[in-house]
Amino acid sequence: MFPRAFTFCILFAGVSPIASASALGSAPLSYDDARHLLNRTGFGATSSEIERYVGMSREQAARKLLDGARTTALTPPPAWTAEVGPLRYPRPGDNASQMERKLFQQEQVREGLELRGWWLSEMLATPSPLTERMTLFWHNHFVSSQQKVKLALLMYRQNVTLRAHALGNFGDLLHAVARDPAMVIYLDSAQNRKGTPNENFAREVMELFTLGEGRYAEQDIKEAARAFTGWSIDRDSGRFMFRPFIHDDGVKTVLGKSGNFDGDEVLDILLAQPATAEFVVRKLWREFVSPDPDEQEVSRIARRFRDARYDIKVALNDIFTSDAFYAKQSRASLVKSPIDLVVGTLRQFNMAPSEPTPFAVAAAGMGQNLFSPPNVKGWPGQETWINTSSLLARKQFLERLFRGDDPSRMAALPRTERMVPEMPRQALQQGELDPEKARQIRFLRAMERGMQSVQFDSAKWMSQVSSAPDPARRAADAERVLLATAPQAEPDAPGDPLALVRSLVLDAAYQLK
Amino acid sequence: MSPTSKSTDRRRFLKRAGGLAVVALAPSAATRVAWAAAPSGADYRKLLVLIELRGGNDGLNTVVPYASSTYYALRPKLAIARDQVAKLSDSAGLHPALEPLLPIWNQRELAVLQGVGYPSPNLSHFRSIEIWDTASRSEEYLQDGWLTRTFSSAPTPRSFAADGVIIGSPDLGPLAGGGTRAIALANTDQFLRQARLAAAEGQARNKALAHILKVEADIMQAASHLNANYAFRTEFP
Repeated sequence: MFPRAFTFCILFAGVSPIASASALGSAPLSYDDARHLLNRTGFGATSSEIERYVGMSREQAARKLLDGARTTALTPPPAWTAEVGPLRYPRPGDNASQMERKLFQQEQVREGLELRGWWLSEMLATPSPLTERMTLFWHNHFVSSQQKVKLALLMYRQNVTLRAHALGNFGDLLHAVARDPAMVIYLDSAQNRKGTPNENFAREVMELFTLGEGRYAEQDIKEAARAFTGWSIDRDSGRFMFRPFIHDDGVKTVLGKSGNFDGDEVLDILLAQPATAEFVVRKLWREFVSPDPDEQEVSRIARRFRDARYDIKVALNDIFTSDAFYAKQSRASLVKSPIDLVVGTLRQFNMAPSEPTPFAVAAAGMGQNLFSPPNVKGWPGQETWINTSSLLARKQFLERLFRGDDPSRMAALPRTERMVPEMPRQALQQGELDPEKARQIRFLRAMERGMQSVQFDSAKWMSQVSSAPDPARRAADAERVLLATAPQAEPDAPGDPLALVRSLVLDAAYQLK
Repeated sequence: MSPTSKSTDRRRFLKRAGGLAVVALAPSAATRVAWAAAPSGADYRKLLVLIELRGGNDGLNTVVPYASSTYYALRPKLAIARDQVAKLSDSAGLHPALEPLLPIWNQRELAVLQGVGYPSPNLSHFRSIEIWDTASRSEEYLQDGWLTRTFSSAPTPRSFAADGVIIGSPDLGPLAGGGTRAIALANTDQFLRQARLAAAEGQARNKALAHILKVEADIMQAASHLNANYAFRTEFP
């Protein structure tokens, strides 16, 4: 016996304990494990979805999720996304009137809202929530914002590109994003010309997309910016265009390598750096596992990620099968983003809104406005999602969804407790309000109607979650599907399903995943 | 409503709200004790009120360069006539509507900062506001507002209802980020009703939960000090 045990130790010397445990195979997934996996990789898994994963090995479960990845959206996009031809964009030299500019702006706002509604619908409808989560992850990695890009059409096209590569190859994704028109506008590549370089893209591609802060010198940015000169867009088609006349053909030195590089060659130099794989894996860790990356694990997974030529599924598979992912201290360690909260809740409770836009607007009100991250660094996430203002917005949203099936209860509530304060109806009808205010009120009313369009049948939901006859047992089953950790407060009235759900979703534990 | 009545209105609200303000104002016995307990160097007997006017403002017609011939040449119709300007100096004066500010200017209680900006601006309004709120360098992205950083180095006494209150906007601005006890409200009544959804019970099992429970406790503490019968005369969207 002794020599055998000794050999065993030698075999695993130098391998981290986590890797060795995975290599030895893991126990089949319990209900809680499956719930954890699906809520981290998707949004608000239902009990029947969870049951499908119970009993699988970690490897089987990860494979099933990764094999189900999509490259396109299922939900038909708004009609205007099919547009071809010149971008409708009043340019400085156009002499567009004030009115034309205003109309353009209103049109982009309207299209932007439709776009947000479309993506939210896709998150609700997709058979592969992981695809949408990864698309959102890349949206927050390769940040562009409609605030600057203006054209909803270009934001849509970028979203299509992000989804196409979401679980594909990181190198391909990086190359595609670098020439994505919305990105070209967002990071001023179009202003980057030979002789008068704009370093914005070169800086962010190193700091935020690949290497991470401190892994390059200021001079690397200056040299790389020269390689990207001439990367522009064709205003007539709205597509990427290389303009050779403003491209700098000189020799550049980036991270110790010299040559007459173009932008793609610089991206390849960045991809060859081990720091890039580590930077991305660390970020994936914070997205899926916990706020505190295990550096040993990060470098192990990053090495495999790079060896696999940046196959994103390889990195995700390693993360989804790791001990750290399933570790007790990782459970309930992440704060739900507003999208997690809104989409997760709608999915969790089988609510199908007839109009999705109000829910995208609700998430924006909690601090996550899709297609408009706050700045180039994206949403910082985790604890920054929660402050006194956003927490009350979250709770009010939940309170409103679970107010009750009974319309008389709704009518009995004081007016100010509705999402949108009661509007001066008469003034609106009589045209006494200024048009801007009137438009705002109509918009808020439409949002209110959208919010009212979802119905929650608590008795039906309860019967799907639990078949136990005993109310206390049913309450425990509901808690298990809804919360990643024990509730802070004893749930109210376990006999009344609506009161039970309300107290569980309003519990602090529901803010975590 | 004149600007004066609006500001006294807010001041009355802040006073009634007890220690609820960027810094406490009402010298009740309890807060006096609290000041004594405040860390050295931090004087919390004064109230700081920041007013942010959102939207477009014509800077050159607010503080008018009335001695500049270029100003009059470039604004043949829009310029404010020299004799209408409320003069601050030999070169600059206020729009006539701002004349009520002249007495405090003369008492040296008013300062005007013009041309505030940052190097190689990207012309984004959002970026400007971010720099303004976080007092960051132009190429630096900070999460914590400048007041948040101030309060983390010189915390207010725990007895204060909050470190600060933001009225009329859900955006915490210079009070954003970890650590501050800041609340945002548009009207007291609504805040108190919403605050009933907060509950600070139980114990934190990890950092994320600890943060959420702290925010819930902040909401409850602020709510417990807030005067429900105070109604703003200003309507906020």
